[in-house]
Amino acid sequence: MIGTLLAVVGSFIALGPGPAWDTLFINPLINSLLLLTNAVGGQFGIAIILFTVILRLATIPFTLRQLQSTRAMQEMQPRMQEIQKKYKDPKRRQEETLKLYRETGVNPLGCFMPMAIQMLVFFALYRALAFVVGGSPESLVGLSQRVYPWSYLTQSIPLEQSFLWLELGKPDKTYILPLMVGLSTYVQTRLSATPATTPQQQQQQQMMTWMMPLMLVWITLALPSGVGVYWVISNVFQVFASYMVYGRRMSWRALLPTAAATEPRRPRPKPQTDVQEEAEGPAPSGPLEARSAHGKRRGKRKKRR
Amino acid sequence: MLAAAGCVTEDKPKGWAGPVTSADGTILVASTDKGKLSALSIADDFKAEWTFPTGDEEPKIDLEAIYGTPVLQGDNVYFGAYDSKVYALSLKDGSPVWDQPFDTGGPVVARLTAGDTTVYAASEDGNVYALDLRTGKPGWTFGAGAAVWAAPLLEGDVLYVASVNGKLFALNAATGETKWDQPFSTGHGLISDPRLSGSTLLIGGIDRTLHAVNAETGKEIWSFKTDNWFWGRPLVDETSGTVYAPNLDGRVYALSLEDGSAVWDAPFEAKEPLRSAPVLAGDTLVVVDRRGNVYGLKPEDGKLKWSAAAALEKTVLADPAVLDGQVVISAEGGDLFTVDPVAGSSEKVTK
Repeated sequence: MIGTLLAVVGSFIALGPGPAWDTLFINPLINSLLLLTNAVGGQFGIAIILFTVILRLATIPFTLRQLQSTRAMQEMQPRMQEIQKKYKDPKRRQEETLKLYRETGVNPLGCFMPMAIQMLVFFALYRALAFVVGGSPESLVGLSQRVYPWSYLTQSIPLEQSFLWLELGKPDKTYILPLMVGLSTYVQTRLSATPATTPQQQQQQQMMTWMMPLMLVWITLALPSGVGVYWVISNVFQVFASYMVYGRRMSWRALLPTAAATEPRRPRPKPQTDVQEEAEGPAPSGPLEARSAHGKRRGKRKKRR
Repeated sequence: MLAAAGCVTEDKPKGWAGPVTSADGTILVASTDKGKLSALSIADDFKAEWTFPTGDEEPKIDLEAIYGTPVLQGDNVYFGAYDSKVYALSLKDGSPVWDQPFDTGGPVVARLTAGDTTVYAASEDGNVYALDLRTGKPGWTFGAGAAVWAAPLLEGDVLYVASVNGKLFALNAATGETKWDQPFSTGHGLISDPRLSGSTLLIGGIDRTLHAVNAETGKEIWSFKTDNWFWGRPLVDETSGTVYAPNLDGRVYALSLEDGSAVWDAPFEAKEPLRSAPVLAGDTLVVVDRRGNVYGLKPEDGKLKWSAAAALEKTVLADPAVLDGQVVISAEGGDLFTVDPVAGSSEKVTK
């Protein structure tokens, strides 16, 4: 892993950021898309779907780590709230929070690395799709500079743009795809929301839950439909991955706009401060069902015995 | 994710129609603005005589982009646009000649070809349409099986049509019936405008190969493979029997028309990919790359006479034209430049 990172950094220094980015990320993705398109008989729409699934499967270790970190953070929320409430001194509060992280073995930056890697892949993929989907003869001139010299790859160029009701190089004017993107993003956001610890956080999350899908609907209206297809499939995959991590404890009721998916339940007041004991008190909230979370802890206690 | 999305936008077509001069040398027709066509008075410092569309049409006309260099025939100018339509305008005032433009059903990227009574339009809908020059009414239609980006080529009573599925057809221009037993086929898109010299038809494509095809039989005579696609129309110097073929690998290849062997010791290497066709102006071969770098070469050996690095400072994908010994180049966005093929100096002529 470190060797790969060093090789990437070395390439960026040796080639320069632009050429290295193209050589290491964009061009391999473009050629993979072309390869897949030929493999599925020139159906570019199907190739995008396949490509998305393969890419998400390849990055599933990162996705799962991110979800597991999110889940751990969710389960810690009641105790976090207790600390927030109990210690007014910021320094002491920070100490107690770090102590809690240590005790539970949760790394607050655990979500960051997987997310950073996924973001990198997303950036590269969007750029690759922009080149391959094209939508104009000019974009093909650009594509010609990025295709590897293997005649099999160029058999389907220019790519078949029609897929279902879509023209993959053009925005979907029927609004169906933008709505699908918005809906799938909403579902994905609601299901993976971390419970807020403060009213401000709660407000921010509420805003994100609505703003993110609406923004994406708006953006998809101006994007090539091929990118929208990627987005929908990617969101569906993320929901599936969430189900794999949370299992039956995933509350589909959290999808309802009225459900307090991001609103934490108030912890029961407890006099004593033992962190482990405190964790037993309040019910977790968010997409996890309270009972299930308790069930898990009971299981842990049994194990301890 | 939102930031990532911000990096991607729909790649809108811009067009690469080249300039063309009227028979009397007084008018230059060019796309001086995206999706617009203008007639410029050469004598009057390239002042626009008219522009189409004017913006006053009802319903509004949005050409989106113009790729094919317009065709001047008689008193009219004919061109296809990315809005799928074929237009016929009066060269005098830009007014429409036909009752209504002909809708092909797909964007028109290929340059039109006109005969005495018929204009031939190839479309991304995979069809070639024979239209009456005076009325725009369709005669025959030929289905090429895939989008056509290369300009149809009319020679006598034969119309040559190449499609992006790699097939080259020879059609009876009067009826649209195929003349060869089977089309010449490469399996990869044929996208460069074809060029005919004697009975040799030259065409390049996405298979990185320039094909020389017998125009009578449709059989390949020779082929020349390179590192990238041939999109620019090859130029043939009939006197020396040399083919000058620009390639998206940034090289100009000089080949023998007879057997495809290399004429120069080494191909000329430009800094950027070459989509524009080269032109011969006097005894200089003028080449323009994608970034607007202009090169003057000796046609006999490909040695550089002069270069004007990034003189145009614009993206150039359109084919240049020669006007009064000067090379006229149309850059993306519609700016027109003249380049002196002797000195290599350039000047912007549009305001």
